Amino acid sequence: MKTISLNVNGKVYDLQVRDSELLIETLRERLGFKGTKYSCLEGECGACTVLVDGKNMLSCLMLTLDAQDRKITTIEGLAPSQGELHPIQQAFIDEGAVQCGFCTPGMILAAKSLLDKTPEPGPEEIARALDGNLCRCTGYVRIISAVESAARKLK
Amino acid sequence: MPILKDFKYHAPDSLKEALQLLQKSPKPMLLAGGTFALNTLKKTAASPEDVITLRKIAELKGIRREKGAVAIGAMTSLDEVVSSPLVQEGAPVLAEACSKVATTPIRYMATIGGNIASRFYWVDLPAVLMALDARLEWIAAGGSRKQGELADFLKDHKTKGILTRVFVPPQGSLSVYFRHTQTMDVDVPVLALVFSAGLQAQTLKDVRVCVNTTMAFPQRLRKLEALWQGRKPGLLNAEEARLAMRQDLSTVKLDEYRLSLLDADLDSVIEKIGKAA
Amino acid sequence: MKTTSPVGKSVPRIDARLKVTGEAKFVFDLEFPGMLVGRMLRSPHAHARIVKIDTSKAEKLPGVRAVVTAEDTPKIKFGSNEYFFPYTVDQLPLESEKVRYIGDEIAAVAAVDEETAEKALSLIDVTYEVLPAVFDPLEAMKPGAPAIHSAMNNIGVMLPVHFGNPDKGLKEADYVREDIFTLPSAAHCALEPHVSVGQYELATSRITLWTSTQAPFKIREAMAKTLRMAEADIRVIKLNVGGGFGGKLEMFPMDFAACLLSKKSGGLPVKITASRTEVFSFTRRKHPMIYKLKSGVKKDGTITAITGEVIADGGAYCSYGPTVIAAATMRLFMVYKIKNIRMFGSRVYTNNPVCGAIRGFGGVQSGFAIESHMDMLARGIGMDPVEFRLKNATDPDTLTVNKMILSSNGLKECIRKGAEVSGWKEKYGRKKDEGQDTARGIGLGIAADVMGSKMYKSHESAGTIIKVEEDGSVYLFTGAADTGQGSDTAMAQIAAQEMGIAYERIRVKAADTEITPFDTGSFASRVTFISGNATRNAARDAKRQVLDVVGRELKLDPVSLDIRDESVVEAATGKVLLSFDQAITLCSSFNYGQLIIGRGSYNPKTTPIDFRTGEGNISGSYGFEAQIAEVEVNKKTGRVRVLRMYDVHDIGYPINPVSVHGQIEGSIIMGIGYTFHENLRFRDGKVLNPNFSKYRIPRSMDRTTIESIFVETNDPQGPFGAKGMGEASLLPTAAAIANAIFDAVGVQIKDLPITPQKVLAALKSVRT
Repeated sequence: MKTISLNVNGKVYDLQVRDSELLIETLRERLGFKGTKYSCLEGECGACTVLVDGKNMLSCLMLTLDAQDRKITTIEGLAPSQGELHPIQQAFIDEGAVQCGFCTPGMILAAKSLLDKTPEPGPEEIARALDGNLCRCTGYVRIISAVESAARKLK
Repeated sequence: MPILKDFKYHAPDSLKEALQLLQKSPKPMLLAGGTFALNTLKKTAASPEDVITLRKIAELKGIRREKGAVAIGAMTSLDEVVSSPLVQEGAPVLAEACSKVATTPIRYMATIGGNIASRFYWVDLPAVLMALDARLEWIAAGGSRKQGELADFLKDHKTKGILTRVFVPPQGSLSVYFRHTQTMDVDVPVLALVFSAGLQAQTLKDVRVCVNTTMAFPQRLRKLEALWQGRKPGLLNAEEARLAMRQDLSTVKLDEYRLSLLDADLDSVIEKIGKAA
Repeated sequence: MKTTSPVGKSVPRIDARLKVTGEAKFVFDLEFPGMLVGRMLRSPHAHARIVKIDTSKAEKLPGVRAVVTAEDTPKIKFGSNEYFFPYTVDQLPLESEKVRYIGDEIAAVAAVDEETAEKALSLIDVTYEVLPAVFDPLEAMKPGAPAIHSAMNNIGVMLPVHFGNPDKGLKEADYVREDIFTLPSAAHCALEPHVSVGQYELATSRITLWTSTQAPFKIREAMAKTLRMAEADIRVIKLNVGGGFGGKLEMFPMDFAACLLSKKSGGLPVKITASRTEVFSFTRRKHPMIYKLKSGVKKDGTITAITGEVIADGGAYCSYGPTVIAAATMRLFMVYKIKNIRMFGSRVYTNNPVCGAIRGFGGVQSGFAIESHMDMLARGIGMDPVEFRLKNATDPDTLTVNKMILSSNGLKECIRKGAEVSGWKEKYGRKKDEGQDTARGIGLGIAADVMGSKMYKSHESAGTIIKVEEDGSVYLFTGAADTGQGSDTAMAQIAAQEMGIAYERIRVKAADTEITPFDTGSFASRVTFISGNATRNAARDAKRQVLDVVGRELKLDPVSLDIRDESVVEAATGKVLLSFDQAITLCSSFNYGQLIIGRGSYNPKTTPIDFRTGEGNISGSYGFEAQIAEVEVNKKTGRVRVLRMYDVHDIGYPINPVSVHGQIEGSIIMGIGYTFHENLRFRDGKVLNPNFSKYRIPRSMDRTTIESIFVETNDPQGPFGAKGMGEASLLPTAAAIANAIFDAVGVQIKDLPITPQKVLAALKSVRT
């Protein structure tokens, strides 16, 4: 066990974690951030996506101890304030990009990572950026238009 | 919880410290990006006592020019290789290959060193690095720095140490990378072909063709290279090329499908370099 | 924001906000104080007799709170299709005598943490007598094959379909052809894995089960049967579900075990989560099928007879097998005017994991076989595939030969419109440039779908209760199970539309067997049609109650009143009398004190299928579509790219257009997955690719441009004319693509998945 400080969603948490603890476990079980899901635990599905210093990464393939001195963002940390929604979240609602919702947090964060880097991506660029996130419900069509719509709003 | 069996975590600041930990531990494991190592821990019986992360070692990061070559630190992420202006300029086919590995989040996390150290010869990078005549640098368990060929490193599972850098020498202006997967782009390839050459006085020089059949180690197509060396790019013959390729790969039992892909790729290479020159 | 008349509008999903913030709760996230971790003990053998189970060592392990085996149960079998097929009741929640596939559940443990639970499993000593196993359905049918159940020749289900005189029909044909198609197994791959939380209440002997499911009432029924309890003592609660697709349509041993473990542990909640590998290997999968067809057509395109045989590998237990076989052999009737038909469907037991319901219920397999076969028949007489379908497609207001009542039917319009928007005439059969590496082609597939089926119960009723609070907010209780397809939203829209009030007022409370009315579940694309009608009836009832009070107060005949646009109005003139809020205040005022509680139910007018002949009107209405694929084939690499898909769909009327398009798009991409990538592979009863890296489902870059067009036939029975839509767009996709590949390069691939190797091999054999 080690005592560490973890920066999640802009807040610093002092935690005791196991050496072998994965970030997904710390987020869901110690910090109660249930928005980050998992579906395969081997880095294939993207449901465990979080932002690490702004880039979308897989929390099931990261040791919590390796996440020290990095800024972690989960879906809970995306909205600008309580009750408000980030434009990407709103776009997902407006474009019909949400069906069962299990892939949604990961998709939204992957989209955020892309739009921070590439403010005006084309549909193929968006698809590429989301290639690590599986969705079985939507067929991706409206997810991509949601990201395009969010990009326009964020301009 | 817990998903992984317990171990002791170490985050050394220097190579010296890392090597000491490596030597001291009865069952050590090095951790780079985590995309390979952590999955291994989840899926196999491997249970290291000590996991030594390399992320704090400054020496392993960064991409620089060194004596004309592009020197890539082992802990450089695949995404960093893709977006590096030095790599894009000096070895564009390496940037292209890295951009096709797995998925976006994996490319943010995985490192070039971790990819090579996995000794997976069937993935994208080995064939490309061999076609580029890349050399590896590592620190052996004793502390001495060594350099060597990628092909030798891939076959050598015994050498213990820490990969430090990948050196990509200056390349010619022509390069092509084709890769084919069974199902979708994010798969590891089922076949890949790398071509690299320079142009001098309208003829090809330093021709290197490497094939990743995924059924055997990546192989340089020496007969094909000899055939094309010194030739004019617009005067390459597909029939000849196919024959040479088959001779080069005679020891590998290739299926119809892979042979079709290779034929198609050779045609495409000939077409592409014919246009470029 | 007040959206009145929301039906037909793409209002935002009622649960979307919770999902985009990550707040939406799934059973996957559920946690209770003192909750134990449960794990299942599964057979490592494909076929074995259980000689002895010794749990003593496991029970003594510190941290283990309960271990259960069949001995803790009344050993009562259950089956998912048992109402119509009592002989398919073949599964025990925990096996005690025999195991029949690798993964068959025989015990379960509950412990304080995962490590302990895992260790406890390894301490359960099971003595097996391994029996010879059989994995190939053709081998399993042979005399002398190992007997898996008591079914003769291991044939668990036999469904004959026979009408007219097919042999005469074949004789009269100008062109006859025979084809064999093979369809692989596949997995649902819902993103949320199977997960159950069981809680036993000692004082009352009552159970609460939270589970990721499409059919909470079905689970309640199965648990009541297998535990010999009253249904009222079992409460099954559905939270948000991360996808179902047919894989979560029945009780699983982990549902059962979670509750039993809770009882044995003294009433602690027990959670069992399946890992991804477990979901792939031990839940349910698609029936692989060998689909044989021999049909005849006349020169003018009339189909004279269709005959064929379907052999399906059913795996170790029956699950929804009969319904799958029925769907695989009987969908034809909805699509084509047939007088002469003989189909024989067999579902064979093997020692492979269990095959069950998966989106399309056998219709995907039959869709590929039949639509490919139809194209080949058309070619045989030199007829355009579009013309051929139009010649033989069913019409509205027809009674099929097997007594299905097709009322509203836009099939021909779908075909014509599809041909028009896709530019079929200019593209089909166009001369291909032989020199190029790539060639393009266009192909068609048509399909029909049911809106429900009485497959596991005598009735298919759905019920809805609506209560209006004093402040005008409205609660809607429905048994319908939203698994992401948007049924909660559709119910809210239907209720708001019928009641004349804003969509935003409605709060939906769904799928809790103790609180919401009955509903059979989310399957067979039934929810909008059946549960929607129940909701409309409840809304009508609630409105009538409000208008009754207003009528009394204003001394007007309530029949002359209506609620529109959030106001009570004079129906004839539209004159506003008072607002809805004022009306509700009136209802709860001193003189009236009238609570508004609307109730409604709906049971579609159908007749059960006579499974000896295939006769019966299985659904209250039928949906239809035409799907056209445009592909590009690389003749050197065998790679096929789907350039565009057109889907023209008779959906009756779209309650929420974006939701319907979303289902269509999701289905098509899933269909593309099954066409090219998805193949659940086995060796000796073990799944070889139980993970996302080796079983590939489509990713964002595998999507294609989809043009989704509605044909509105305004079904006479559907709520506001709506039919259902959840599966149909998956049915013709593979055939449309295969037919397009033929148009491009002249090869017809008859066995899925369509791999580059198969395309290249086919091209080679065409050249030689």
